[in-house]
Amino acid sequence: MIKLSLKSKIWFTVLSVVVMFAFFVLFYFPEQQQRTLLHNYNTEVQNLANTVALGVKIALTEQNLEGVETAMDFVRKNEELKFVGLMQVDSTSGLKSIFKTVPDDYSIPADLLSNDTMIVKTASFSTPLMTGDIVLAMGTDAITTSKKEIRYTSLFVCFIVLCVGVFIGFLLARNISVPVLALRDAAIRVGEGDRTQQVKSGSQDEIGELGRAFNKMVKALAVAEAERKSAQDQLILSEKMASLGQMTAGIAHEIKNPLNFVNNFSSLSVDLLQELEESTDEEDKKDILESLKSNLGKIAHHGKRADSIVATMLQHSRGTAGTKVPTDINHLCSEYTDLAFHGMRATSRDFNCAIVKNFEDGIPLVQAIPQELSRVILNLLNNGFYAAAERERKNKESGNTEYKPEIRITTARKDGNVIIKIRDNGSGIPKAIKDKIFEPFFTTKPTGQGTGLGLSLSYDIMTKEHQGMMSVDSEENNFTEFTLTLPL
Amino acid sequence: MATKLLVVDDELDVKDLFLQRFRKEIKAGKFSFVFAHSGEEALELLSHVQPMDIVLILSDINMPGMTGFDLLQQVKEKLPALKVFMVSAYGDAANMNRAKETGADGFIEKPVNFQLLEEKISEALENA
Amino acid sequence: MVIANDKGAPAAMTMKELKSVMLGEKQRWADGTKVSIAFMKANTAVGSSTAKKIMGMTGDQLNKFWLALVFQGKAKAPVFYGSSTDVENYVAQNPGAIGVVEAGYALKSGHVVTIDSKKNF
Repeated sequence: MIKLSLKSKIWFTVLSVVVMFAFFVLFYFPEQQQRTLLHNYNTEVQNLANTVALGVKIALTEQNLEGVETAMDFVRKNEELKFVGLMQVDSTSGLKSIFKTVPDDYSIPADLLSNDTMIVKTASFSTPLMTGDIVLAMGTDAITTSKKEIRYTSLFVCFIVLCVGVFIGFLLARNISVPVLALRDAAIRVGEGDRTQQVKSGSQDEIGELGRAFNKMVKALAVAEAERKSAQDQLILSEKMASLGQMTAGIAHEIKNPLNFVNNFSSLSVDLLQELEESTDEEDKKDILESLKSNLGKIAHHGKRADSIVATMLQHSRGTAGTKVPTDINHLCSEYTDLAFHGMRATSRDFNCAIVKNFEDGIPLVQAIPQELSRVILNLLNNGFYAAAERERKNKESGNTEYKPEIRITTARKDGNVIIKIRDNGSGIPKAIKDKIFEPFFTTKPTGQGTGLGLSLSYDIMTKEHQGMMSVDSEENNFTEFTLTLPL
Repeated sequence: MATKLLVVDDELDVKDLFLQRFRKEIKAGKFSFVFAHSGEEALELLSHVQPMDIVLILSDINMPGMTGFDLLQQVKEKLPALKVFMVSAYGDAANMNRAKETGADGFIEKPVNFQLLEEKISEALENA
Repeated sequence: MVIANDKGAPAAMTMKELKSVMLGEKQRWADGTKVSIAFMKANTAVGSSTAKKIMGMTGDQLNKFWLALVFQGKAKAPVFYGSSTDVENYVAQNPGAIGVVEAGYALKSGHVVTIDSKKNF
């Protein structure tokens, strides 16, 4: 298929019409004209011959020479006259002879016929006095001249038509081709994602209407996209809130412990001071002072602990626009594993799960956004807990009490990357859905229990924000293991 | 003779807390404490120490690995004579009921009210 | 009898001159007016005698002769009338006209042209 642009098509159409018209004007029309002219001329000449013949007849029969005089005056004045002859036929022999000719003594060839340069017409007359013919020969110069004139006129008209055609072609190209191309370009750009494209749509014809419809559509598209994005943002926010909520429970518990120690050791220390005041034994006093020293140390320690837990919580709840900072991966993993664990215990009292931490020593600091990375780790751990809990529940239903849920988290350094692995011994991921798990909104949890955004968000955090990787390995009824790769 | 108590909690400072809080009693020979930091450690301890030595176990519920409930169950199976008190930050009805059902002899909420603890210990031992 | 309009033809002509005029050899008179001729028709007595006496032709021959002339545009076509009155009217109305009527005709306008000093012939 040859690709013909719209402009080419328009030009092709216009020029075809022009060429057809030109053909008509240059060839057909003049031909026809000429034929008509010739035919009319023939008739004219014949009529003239007839008139002269009639004049002669009247002259001979009625002795009225006016007719023939007038006719012959007319004939003689005519520029195209080649000759005119009065032939008489001898009544006895039947031979034709020349009676008189104009010009004088012109020898008329016998049986002369019309040719390219002249028309020859004959008109007979018959009177008692004389019988004969009028032979009239008129030249065709005038016709040839008019033929030339017609040709020139045609050429001129043709040229005008060509100019008009070109002009129309330009107009069409401008009014059709230009807006259509503009529409095409705009459509392409909209397809590529630019939702601000608008085209000029002033004209009142269908192209203008198309333009206006297009503009309306693009605006609607932009609005729809904005709404969808806003809805998505909402959903992502609620996912983060859910994850935050889960964490809060764990945090509350986490904080309780150190605060308890702070309170308890504080009140113990108050008692000890009382004793110290009352005591008299030097040994005893020494012991008490030792205890007090230790207690204050413990208070400080647990106070700091509570502080860091709050800091962690604040860090986690902060927005997404985080900058990368050198991060201790092992510390992060350890902290959030504890957090996740306590969070899980807070919400599912019946469920207990073994946690195995296996952190490689000496991993250097990694440029990472801690609050985002922690979100990923929390997400994976929570998923792992859920999977293990589900397996345990199913096992219990079928009477199996042998199963022991376990989560393993390991860190290692390999090939210029830090590898974090989170493994659970739940029921595994079926092959059929393994490809889907990273898709946004995909979840196997019952309705209302999960937004389905956790893994897709985590995936984005790993790949887009940290230029790392995230992959999954799983065996049904055995394990699921997520591998996070961070470049050093 | 001192009442020997086994305290099971994953938090290390619990040891110092108890030792200080009950120093007078310890000095007076009323109580003596041993400490384990996990359910497994506790069981290990129990298998070596004279069972009759320890009369009461105070166990945290939320511990990684073996939970307090698991420990409770095991102890009640193996050493039914031992009294077990559950100690936990979560003092809700569900936990308390579960503790009772599993055979716990008492339930103490964290933060530990040591006064109350003493009373409960006395109560439990009297009923032995 | 030869009559003529007051303008054009002279009062007297010779037969030779008359013949010349009647044969279309003269286009204009001395005073410049155009020659126009009025004959009587060949089927009249005057007509046929005129043809014979002046031109030495029959009526038909005269016809043919003049046809040839007119055909070639060499002379102005003469008119042929059936009566002397018509001829007289024509001559009277046309300057330079000359005509032949019957002998002894009572002329009301124009003048008689004597041929060889004779009125009638």
